[in-house]
Amino acid sequence: MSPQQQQFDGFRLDFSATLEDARDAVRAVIQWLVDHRIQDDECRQWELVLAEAANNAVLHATPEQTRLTVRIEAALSADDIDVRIIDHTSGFDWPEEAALPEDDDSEHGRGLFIIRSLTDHVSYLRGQDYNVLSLRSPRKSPLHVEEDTEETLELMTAEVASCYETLANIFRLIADAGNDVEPVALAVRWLEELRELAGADFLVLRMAATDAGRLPILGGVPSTIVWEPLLDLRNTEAVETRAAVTRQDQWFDGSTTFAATDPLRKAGEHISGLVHPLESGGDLAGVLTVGVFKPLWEPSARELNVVRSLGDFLGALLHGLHRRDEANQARLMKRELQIAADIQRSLLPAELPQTRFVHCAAHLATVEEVGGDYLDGILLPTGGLLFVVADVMGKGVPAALFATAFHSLLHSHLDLAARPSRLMQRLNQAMFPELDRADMFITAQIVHVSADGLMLYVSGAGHAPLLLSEGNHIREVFADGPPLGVAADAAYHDYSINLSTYTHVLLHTDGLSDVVSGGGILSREALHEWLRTTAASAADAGASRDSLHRLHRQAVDAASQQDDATFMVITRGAKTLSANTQNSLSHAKG
Amino acid sequence: MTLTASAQITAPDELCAATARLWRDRLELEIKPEHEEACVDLSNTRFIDSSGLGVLLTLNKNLRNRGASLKLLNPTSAVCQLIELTRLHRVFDIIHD
Repeated sequence: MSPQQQQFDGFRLDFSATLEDARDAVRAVIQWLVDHRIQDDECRQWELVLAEAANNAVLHATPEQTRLTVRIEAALSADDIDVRIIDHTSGFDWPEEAALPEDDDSEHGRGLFIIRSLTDHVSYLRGQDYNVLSLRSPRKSPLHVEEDTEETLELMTAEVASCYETLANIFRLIADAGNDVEPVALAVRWLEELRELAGADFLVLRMAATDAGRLPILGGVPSTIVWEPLLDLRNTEAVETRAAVTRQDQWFDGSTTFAATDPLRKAGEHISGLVHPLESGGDLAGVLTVGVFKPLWEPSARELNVVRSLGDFLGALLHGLHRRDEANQARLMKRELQIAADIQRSLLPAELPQTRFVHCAAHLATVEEVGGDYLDGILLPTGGLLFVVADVMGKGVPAALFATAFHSLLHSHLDLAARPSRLMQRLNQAMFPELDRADMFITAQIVHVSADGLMLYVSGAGHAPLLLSEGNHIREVFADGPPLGVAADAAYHDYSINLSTYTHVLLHTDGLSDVVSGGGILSREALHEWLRTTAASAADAGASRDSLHRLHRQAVDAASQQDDATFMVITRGAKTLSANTQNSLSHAKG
Repeated sequence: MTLTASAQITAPDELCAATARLWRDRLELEIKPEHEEACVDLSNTRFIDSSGLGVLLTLNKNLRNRGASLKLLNPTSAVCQLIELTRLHRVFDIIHD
């Protein structure tokens, strides 16, 4: 064994998973305790406890696991002696009570009893990739007080100076962060500062991201090294991963064997240093690696203090900035969606136009969210009526923007309203380039009703069919041109219908029925049946709209889906209708 | 006076997991079937762990099964303490000069 005593406030040693190396490691811990003036009988007890514990860490290793080292750490405080043993075996179940074997002659089964009997506190954490056995007992030997006043004063002075330096740097860092600096720039600047302060050659800072399984790099110095952009935490062989997972400093030096996939290999072969985990509010904020291009780094206590303290503060600060940016982004997104929803709402007519012969009422899918459904009703100067139902593919801001463009173009080409096919063609020509670029399309249906209410002309662009009722008979008009945005030179056709025999007309988007796309909630038969019943009851437009909405809601509730249907009912009566223009447009509230 | 055929063995400085197998092999060589007892000198054994105890227990059982006996001679205080902690003073025949 060539045990490498590493930098640590207490004692730390990594050893191979063999019984011989375990024995040597325990001897080394005991020697360290002796050096710290722990009494003989206390050392003897610890030697026995650690021998049992280290043997367990070795004996549970599979042949593959013997390649992985076992770590032993010891620390002294004024009151206690603490020892941790970390192994990479499959571990074992720690019993509730560690008793002696019932058979006095049994060769095995006394190790855990010995550990329990000779220590005050034992805990065993069995992890997926490693296990941690923590042992603690109060120290019987009094804390040795150094009598050398001069040396003590020197140490205290150095410590105060180090604290002052760290504090001064933290104030500078706070001031720097207050200048609204971008986090990456802040990180790189302070990594350079830390490199100077710690006498290091290279530093890498990785911060925890939303994806908990990865640590993306935030900054690295020197910039001449192309650092790995992402640390995958599943790569348990990487030194940085070990620091992130154990939340403990990980030292590396010339004797460390780096795995082939370890990102620190980018720094070279003969490197040494420390990976320090950064925490913020109990969460892992990131890892900071500080190293030199030589096999052994021996930082002074001051340098270590600066790295740890300033690193911790930088990590917490950047973590806070990251969270603030995320919150700002979410607020911005919400605000943008709100603006888009306001735009979309502003496109809707307050009420739909009514004439002496023709009434209409409509229902629009949720306007609380930003969606792609659009409807309009316009009283033309000729006395005729233009009705439009459209559906922009997709939701959100892009859909709302295309709905806005559609609305503007429609209202600027009302001279073509009497010929819905020409109007549709014009809309397609105007919108095709943008829709094509955005890889989106719009389905639409445009209906023109003559001023006397007797003739209806309809043109469709990939839209659901128009439904008309004539007593018990239901007619479907498939005005089936391609959706807007599919072909620049698409041709559309008008279908003319004499309205004198029809009483109810229904325009709707795919969300209502599965007639075209299969995406709607009501079956074609259910829709036909509703229209028959409605026509038979001679319900007016508003009542018809309400009854269809109720029917749709029942189906939506039964299927636990969202109410995303938009539809318009146009009624025509033989008699003159009263001009009821109230509540002609209803909205589904999200 | 009857002379008892006895094997005299000195235990190593450290009787632990790392040395147990080697010492077990040595016992097999030194203790012959004609030995009616085995005396293990523990006066130089500074450290013993549960694996070391395990070797002594196996030896004790094997000897007992063939009508022979094991004596532990002059164990150090560290060895005595562990034997008492594990209640094995009820099992072993311990002799102090």
